[in-house]
Amino acid sequence: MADIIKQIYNAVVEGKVEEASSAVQDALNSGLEADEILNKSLISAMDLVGQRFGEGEIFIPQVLWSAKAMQAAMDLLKPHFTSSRSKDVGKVVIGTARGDIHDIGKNLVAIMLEGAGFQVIDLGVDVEPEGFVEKAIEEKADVIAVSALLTTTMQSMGDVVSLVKERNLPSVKVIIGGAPVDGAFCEEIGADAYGIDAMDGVRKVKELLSR
Amino acid sequence: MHPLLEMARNRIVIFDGAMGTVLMASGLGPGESPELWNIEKPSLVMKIHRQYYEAGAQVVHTNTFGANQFKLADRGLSDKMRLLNMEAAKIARKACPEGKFVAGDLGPTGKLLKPIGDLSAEAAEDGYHKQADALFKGGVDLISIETMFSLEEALCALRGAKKLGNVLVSVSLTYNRTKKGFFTMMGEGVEKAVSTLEGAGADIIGANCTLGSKDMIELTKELRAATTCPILIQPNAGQPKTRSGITTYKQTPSEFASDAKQIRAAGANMIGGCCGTNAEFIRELARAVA
Repeated sequence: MADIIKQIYNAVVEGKVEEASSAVQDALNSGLEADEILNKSLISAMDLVGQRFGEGEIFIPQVLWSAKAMQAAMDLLKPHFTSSRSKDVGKVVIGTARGDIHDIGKNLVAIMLEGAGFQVIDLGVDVEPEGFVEKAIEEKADVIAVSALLTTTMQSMGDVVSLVKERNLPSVKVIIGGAPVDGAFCEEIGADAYGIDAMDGVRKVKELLSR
Repeated sequence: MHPLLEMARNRIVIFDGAMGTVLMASGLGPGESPELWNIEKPSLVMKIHRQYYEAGAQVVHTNTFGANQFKLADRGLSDKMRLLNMEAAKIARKACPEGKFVAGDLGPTGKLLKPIGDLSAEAAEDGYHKQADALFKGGVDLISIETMFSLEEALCALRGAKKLGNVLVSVSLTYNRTKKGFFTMMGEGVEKAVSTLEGAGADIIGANCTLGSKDMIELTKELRAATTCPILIQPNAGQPKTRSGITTYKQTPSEFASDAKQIRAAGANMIGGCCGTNAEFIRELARAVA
């Protein structure tokens, strides 16, 4: 039993999609609970991937393969989660800040969030603060995630936060990310969290929703 | 020898600054396609080109960074690919004084190549070939491939452009600075990227976007050590600096220009600006390194 968990863990870390799928299928066939597979192998595997990425030991292609393996595993697990656990861990509306067309980072975060089981609504680039907030209301999203590369465009992140407050949406959390974003800026505009990189962003979204 | 390369042998060549962020400052609204202005507001695009030439640029880029068929398809504009590129080239040509140059800008597709993504290398190469063809039909002097975060995709663009025959092509990747050095998003280091691009026939090797002018000084040294090709460096402006854990602040044109001097000293032959820069940055840059 421990072997199959280890096997899934390794397949996700190494980004082997088919191996991950077949090992998860074997685990389910042998009677393991979906929650156990998720908690004991998938989540810790993606944590290691995130750590290696943060250390500069691996790069985006490897992370994407691992995310794909994770996604394939999740597809198999989803129908088996116990009813106490919701099938979707949360819903995130994501896009780049008004005026900003740099979407590499945003795309990555979207992929990683999906890999972690979130439902992601991607609004694309150059999104008005109203666009984020209206979509979040319409979709009953838990989180708005805004990305910016430029100091000139990051200012509109504050408008997103203000608008969420104005509309009185205490259940909607705002997370920001991108090269110029730091803790001081996050605090200044009153966002709920910021991500240093894609993996950290996913981690922070999880933290926000577990509060 | 191409007259631009000849110029680069004798002097530092100044490239233009940003187009996208300047268009936004000129009223390009959220969600609007910058490329569409090539047919809707050509005089405004031409004015921006003229400002860069007047500021001292010898080379300006056409307003076609996102005008490849893949990016245009996202905006429902793929049927206008040829038109938008030809018009963009004509606008820049018209703005270009005698003895200066127009570079046809090729940017990333925004897609990931197979097997991670869905786009095949053949399709990407073909798309870039068609875009480069339209740009040359419109009158550009060279192709400038920019902001590539994947070496493989940059190669697709390079091959696509070179299929037109003996044309001058510059290839500029965008690097991140990590604990272990400079790498593209896909994990390619400087040496590997440069030798691969040189081997595939790139005439000018460059770096742009992502990094500000400070980091570009270091990167230029590494590029210079890796190649004898002319080097083109286009840093971003407006990158923040954190002082004692707080405050971000905007870089001034003169700070940018003083870093550019060091970029030149590190071995760059051609310098311009990327996101956040405008004609004022280029004027200061030209003054500082001339």
